[in-house]
This record gives sequence, structure tokens and C-alpha cells, in this order.
Amino acid sequence: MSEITALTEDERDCYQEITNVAMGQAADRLARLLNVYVVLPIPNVNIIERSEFKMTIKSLEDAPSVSAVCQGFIGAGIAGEALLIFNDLSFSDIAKLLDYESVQNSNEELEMLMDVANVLNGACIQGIGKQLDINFSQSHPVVLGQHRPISELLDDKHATWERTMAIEINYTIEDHNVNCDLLLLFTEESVHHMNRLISFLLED
Amino acid sequence: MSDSKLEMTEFHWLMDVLQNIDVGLVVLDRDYSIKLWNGFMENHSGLRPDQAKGKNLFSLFNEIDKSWFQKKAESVFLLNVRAFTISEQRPYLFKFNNNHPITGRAEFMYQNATIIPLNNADGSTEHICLIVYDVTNSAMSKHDLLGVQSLLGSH
Repeated sequence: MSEITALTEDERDCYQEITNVAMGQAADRLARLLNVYVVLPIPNVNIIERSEFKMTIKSLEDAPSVSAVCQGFIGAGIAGEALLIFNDLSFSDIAKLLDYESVQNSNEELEMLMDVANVLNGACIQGIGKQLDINFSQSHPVVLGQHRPISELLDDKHATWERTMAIEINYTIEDHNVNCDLLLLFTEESVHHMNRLISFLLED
Repeated sequence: MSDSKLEMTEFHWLMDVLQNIDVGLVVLDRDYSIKLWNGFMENHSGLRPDQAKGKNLFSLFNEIDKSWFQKKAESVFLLNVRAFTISEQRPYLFKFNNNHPITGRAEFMYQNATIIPLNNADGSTEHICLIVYDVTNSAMSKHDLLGVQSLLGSH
């Protein structure tokens, strides 16, 4: 299969639009759940080489320590991972939002991390799936690390991929110091399939 | 809701659960042709149920060692007992990609599998069900642990 090194303008727009709709749904659910206003940014769609991956992630979040959860999804020839990165400084605010009276130990923090990750990942992935008419199955979430510098979260020495399509979404919540990044990472093979799927959308 | 209606609803729930559960389910008959193919198998293999059903398991997946698998499965058919394979013994049955394609380090999905007999009304076993579990995470942890242990041992 040919290599995908870049997306056309139209393809990028289309992915942005699809993500926008999915994020909107995710934000709506979050707003109902937490009774807050979620600020939606414009998602950033890029093809990233393995060598640039760490740099890209670092540039997203410049906090000295972060926590991250990732979850795989797969369906109809499309596979990828949703990676949620939390700035550790946001923890106390998230706890307030989610009504966790006081977060005392790392176990409770983890509980909270998983709750938020679940809402954001789940709603976003299913939202994208719905638009492309794919029923994704999601794997168990995996905690990549808690309270660590971002460079320690990822092991790119053993990575088996060359490039990935990354959709970056930066969620912020109005009036709260909550800042987290959701990265949807699609494998190169999936991008071939997805480009074909969106070509139908682009036709009309 | 009347009883029969509830039963119908429960049946639908059950079907939904089997379709969406994060575990692979395959029903095979005596000739190893595929009779049932759930969502997990569909998503990870890239084969829709209509592409898999009725086909021979070994012709679709030549990574499965036929004689090895048959030996295991025949005991299930004959003795009506379960059979197991673990990832330490054979890392995978189906060569699927790792469920964490970007952050994961494994090149493929490590799998445990269970084969259970499905009994007919008369007690004979004409079909078996293959249950496939994704155990990549624990396999990788074990691998890491062994690596550290051997490092410690060499000092």
C-alpha cells in the first residue's frame, strides 16, 4: 500500500468536521453530566512521523508532570488509539467538578482519571463511528502513567509503526482550571480506509 | 411485560452482549467450518460474518497449526471437556494486531483461548465454541518482569 505522507485540504477539512460533530456530542454529554460549559476548540488534524511523535505530544502539554490513559478502538478495518493526557495541575479542579469530596490517594485520583477518560474517549470515538457508520469495539483502558513527565509516558523505541494520523483536541472547561488533551491516533492502514470512506462524503 | 415478551427482550440483550463483548467467540462444527463469528472476531480479523461463516477455519487462518488445533479440539468433541491454550504456550491463535497500535509495544495480540463443547439435546457434541481472550497487557508485563529478573540474576 502506498504511503500516506500528507492529507489533501479537503480530507483535512472533512476529518476536522467529523471530529467537530463528535466532540460536540461528547461535550454535550459532559455538560449534562457535570453541569458545566465545555469549551470546544478546533481540532487539529495531522499526519505525524514516529520521530516527531514525542515532540508533538510535548508541545501539547508543557506541564512538568502529567497523567495519561489510552484506549484502543477497532472496527471495519479502522484501528487506532485514543490517548487522553491530563495536566496534573488540573486534578483538584476535576475532583471538584466530579464531586469527589477530597481526593486523598492516588487510587482515588486514578478512579477520577478513568471516569473522565471514559466520557471523553467513549463519546468521541462512538461519535466518529456513527458518522462513518462503524461500530467500534473499544478495548480496556490502560493507564500509561501517573504524575510523570510526558517524555516518560511513551516508549517509542519499540514502536512498530511509521506514521499516524493524529487528531488533537484540547478540552477546557469554562471557569475551571481544567485542561486536558485528547489525541485520536489512527494507524496508517486505517487512514487508507478512512480516506475512501470520506471520499463518499466529499463527493456531494 | 408478559413473560414471553421479557424472554424475547432478554434474548436480544444476550445477543447484543455476545456481539459487543471484548472477547472473541467462534462456533465450529465437526469439519471446523465457522458457524458463528462475533463482533470482536469481525473487528480484529477484518472479516465480516458473511465472509467467515461456512468457511473452514484453517483455510481462512493459515497461522493456526491444523494438527495441533485438531488434537486439542477432538478431545473436546469426544470427551465433552474444556480445552485451554495459554499465551506462554502459543502466543496467539489468530494473528491479530495489537489492540494498542500506537502506544503498545507488542507486534501482535497475545491470546489465551478456551474451547468449550456445545451439547445437543441428546448430549452429543457436534459443535464447539472457541473463546479468544486478549492478554497482551499481562503478557507484556510478564515479559518485562522476566527481563528485570534476568538482569538482577546476572549481577
